[in-house]
Formats: sequence, structure tokens, C-alpha cells
Amino acid sequence: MLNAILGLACLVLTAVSLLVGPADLDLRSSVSGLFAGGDEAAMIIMQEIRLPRALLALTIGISLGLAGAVLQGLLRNPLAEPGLIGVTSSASFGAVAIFYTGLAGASLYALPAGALAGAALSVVLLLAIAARNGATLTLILAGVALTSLTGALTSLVLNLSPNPFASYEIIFWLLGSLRDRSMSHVWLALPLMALGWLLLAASARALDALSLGEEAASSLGIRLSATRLLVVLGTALAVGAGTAVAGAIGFIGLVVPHLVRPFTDRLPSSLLVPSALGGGALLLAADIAARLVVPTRELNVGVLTALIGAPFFLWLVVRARRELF
Amino acid sequence: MLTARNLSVSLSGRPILHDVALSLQPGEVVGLLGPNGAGKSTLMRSLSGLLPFSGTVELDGQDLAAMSDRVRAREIAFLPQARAIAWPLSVENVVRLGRSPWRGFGALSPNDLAIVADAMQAMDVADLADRPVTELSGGEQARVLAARAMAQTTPILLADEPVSGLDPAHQMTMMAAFRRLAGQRRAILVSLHDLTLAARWCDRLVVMARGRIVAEGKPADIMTGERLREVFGITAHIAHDECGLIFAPTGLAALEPPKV
Repeated sequence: MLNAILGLACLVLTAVSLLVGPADLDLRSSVSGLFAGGDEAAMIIMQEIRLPRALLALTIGISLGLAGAVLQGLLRNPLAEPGLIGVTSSASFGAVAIFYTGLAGASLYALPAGALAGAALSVVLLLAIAARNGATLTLILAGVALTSLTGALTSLVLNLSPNPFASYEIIFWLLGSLRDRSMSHVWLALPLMALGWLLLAASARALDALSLGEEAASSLGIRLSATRLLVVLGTALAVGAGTAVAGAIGFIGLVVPHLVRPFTDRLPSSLLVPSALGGGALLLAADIAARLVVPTRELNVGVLTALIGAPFFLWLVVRARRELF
Repeated sequence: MLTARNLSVSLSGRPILHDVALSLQPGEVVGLLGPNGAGKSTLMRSLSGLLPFSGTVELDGQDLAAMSDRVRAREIAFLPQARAIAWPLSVENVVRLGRSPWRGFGALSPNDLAIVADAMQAMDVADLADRPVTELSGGEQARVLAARAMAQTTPILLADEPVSGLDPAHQMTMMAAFRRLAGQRRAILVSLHDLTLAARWCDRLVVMARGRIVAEGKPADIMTGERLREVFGITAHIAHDECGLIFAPTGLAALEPPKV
């Protein structure tokens, strides 16, 4: 029932997202532009501007929601979110490095490739650390250290940036946006995200057993090292690919699991599908709002999710402390 | 049947267990006694495959170290001392987790659900089935987690201080449940601090000190005043009645027993 409602919300919001934009298209030309062709301008707007935007909002939202739910389950910590293990900030740093070297203009794929390389590097580091010292707490601390380091490196690049215009471009990208993305971005990110979803979903049973603690989970036949590997790789693929094409979008992975948890039996595995769908719906809604709030100038969706997400999270904490756990 | 030979464990380079030899037979409840830090928990963790060890542990002739995690989880259940439950799961969902090593991708079978219901009944938590575990008292949580371990239906159950924090009636409920499991040809190793409880409900006792097994046998044969003084550092009044041995600690061995 919950999944059906959230799935419906995703569908409706995808449709709304397709209908919203600066170009004044009516419903009929929108639909015909999307599927049939008809008016060429309408076709280009629908198929090459609005469709990739809606698809990216949906799939990146799914990635963030799912990764957030899985990480909270793995770490048994309601404050865990995809940014925590350093994947988002490493991907951002990878992209910023590409900006700095000036390769960003060379190819459409240069920027996402840089971000993916950054995400991959952070994963290799995390896994090496996790392999040496098996504790989950080590993973969190290593993630925090990695986030600080890549954040500092990003600042360094901004500091060294040759001209204010380049800095502006970098900062704007860091804020996260789904504007002016093409179907190429979708085809680049979607396969990686889908693979990440599979890896994350494969950890569901292990996450349930982990509710009882790591010792009890091991005694139930869960191989913790394999579970950590699945989760870190899955998060890196899903969130890294999303960051690569849209920049850093915060708070969705943190807030969504909390929003849907009270409507489930609270088993981590029961939370995965609702969190994924909820993430998709929330990012779609945020992206629609980013286009509508200030009519003259579009907001960056990353700014909007943080602006709404942070106070909302605080309210959630104050209102129902028990529901957090 | 579980057999451990020359079992040694070191943690961060410090030896914790030295050459431990132990066997568990189907149908017996074995009490594991010893002061804090004697190595009881370490022994249970290594027997359940959670800690690397040297030496051999065999299960019906099969090497424990060579088993896959899932196969091992169908043979040995471990009830850790730490009672941490991360989310407000319902009691029934916690007990159902005991079926994890047995289930495939689908929902739990009617047989699984019957096992879960039996385990909840045995631990007297069936009435709490729909309550969130986080709202229960510590003793109730302990019983829920014990029911979880029972629902794993393994030939061997290792329980690390399962009765600590329980009221006297539920301490005996748990020991009686272990006895019933032993009646089904299962073997139970349970670490305890209550000597009287151990002597009454266990077929055999194993006493550990400083990482070694220092005594093993029937309660009446090994639980002497001398041993209590040496191993636990206490003096105790030991009595015998129709139900078995009764231990009443009277003082620390280092001091003189208080004059009555």
C-alpha cells in the first residue's frame, strides 16, 4: 500500500515535471512532442530538455533514498546518509579537478568521468581501510576523514583557480542542479545507478540481521565483510553516478528514510523500496519547485533540498525523537 | 556433537584462551562458570566461528573453520551477552530473524512461523508479539533475544549470560527452556554467574580461570569450597537439599569469613 502510493506519486510528479518549464507548451503539444513528434520545437523541448531532466530527478532521487536507507541499516545509525562515507564529496572533487584543468569544455563526458573517478578512488580507499580493519565504525570515521580531505582539496582548487569566472562555474556546479542535462547524461548515469541499486538491494537480508548487532548477525550466517563491500560499492555506483551528472544534492538520503520509516514495520529491508520511491518523488518535487519558486531565475535544486531539508529534519528530531530509531 | 581441541585465541597479540579442550554432547546442558575475564565469552565466540582461533573445532567430525557461514549458522546458534536492538522492531519480527539461515528469497513458510511461535511460547513472550522491543524492559528483551536464538533450531546453542538481569522466575523459565531443548537432543552451553542456578539446571559444569579450563564434571563433584576459594576468590556456605546444591557466598577469600 505504501509502495503503491509512493509509486503513484513518482508517476504523477514525473508527469508534472515534464509539463513545467520556461517554454509555454500546452498539454496537448507536450504529449505529442514527447511521443509522436508533431511540432518540432515541442519535440526538442520535451525529448531533449524536459525528459532527461525528469528521468534524472527520478533516478538520482531513487539512488539517494535507497543508499540512505541501506547505510542507516548497515551502520545502525539514524544519522547515516550517502554523503557520510565520502562518496559525494570525492565525486565533487573529481569534477572540480576537471573544471580546473579546463578539460570540462573538451567533452560532455569529461566532467562526469572526473566525478566518477573521484567516487571510485574514494571507494578503493574505503575498501582498503575496511579490509585492514573490519569494524563498521572504522568505515564511518574513514568516511568522515575522506569527506574533510576532499572538501579541503576542493577549496584548494577554488583557491588556485585562475579567474573568478572559473570559480563561479565550480561553485555553481557544486550546488547541484538538473538543469540543461541531456539524454547522454541519462545514458551515462542510469546503467551505473541501476547496478548500484542491485548491489544495495542484495544487502537487504543482512541489514535485517544487523538490527541485532554485528555479533548476532555473524552468528546468523551473515558475512559482514561481504555486506560492507556490497553497500560501499552500491552506494559509490548509485550516488557517485548521480553526483557525476547533477552535482552534490544533500539531505534526500538522510530525510527520506525517516519520513517513510513510521509507515513500515521498521525492518531495514522493508524500508528499501519505500525509501527509493520516496527519494524519487522528493527530488522530482524539489526540482519542480526549483523551477517555480523564483520565476525569473531558476534555483539550484541542491540549494533547495538543503534549505528545506535541514529545518525539516530538525523539526522531525524535535517532534518525534522516538520515531528516529 | 561439538569437539574443540587445543583451542587458543589471541586478541591484539594478547593470549586470551590457552589450549582449551571441550566437548558438547547432544541432550546435555553444560554450564560455563568462571570469574569475569576468565575467557568464557571468547570461548563462545570462537566456538560459534566469530573469532579466528588456532586448534581444531569439529562438528560431527566436520571442521568448523571450513564451513560456510550459512551452514555453520544452521548448526550453531549464539546468543551474545550484548542486547542491542537497533530499531523498534516488533517482538515477532525479532524472533523471526532466527530463521534467517534457513529461509530462501520468499516469505517465511508456515513451518518457520510455527517454529517462531513455539520459541516465543517457550520464552514466555508470545503475549508481547506485536510490541516494539525497544519499549520492553531489559529482562523482557533478554527473553525475546533468547527466543530468537531458539528459533534458529540448531543442534547446538551457545548462550552468553542469558539470565543476567532476569527476575528469578524468568531465570528458571529460561533454564527450563534449555532443558526442554536438551530433551530434543540438542546441546546447550550456557555461561552463568549464579552458582546455585548452574548446579541445579546443568548436567555438567565447566569452570574456567585465566583462559584455561580448570575443572569439569558433575556439580557436586567439582564445586567444592576449595575451588570456590581458588577460582572465584570467595568463601561460601554450601548446602545440599532434595533439589541439589545451594551456594551462599559469605565473604571474600582474601579476608576472613565474617563471624556469625
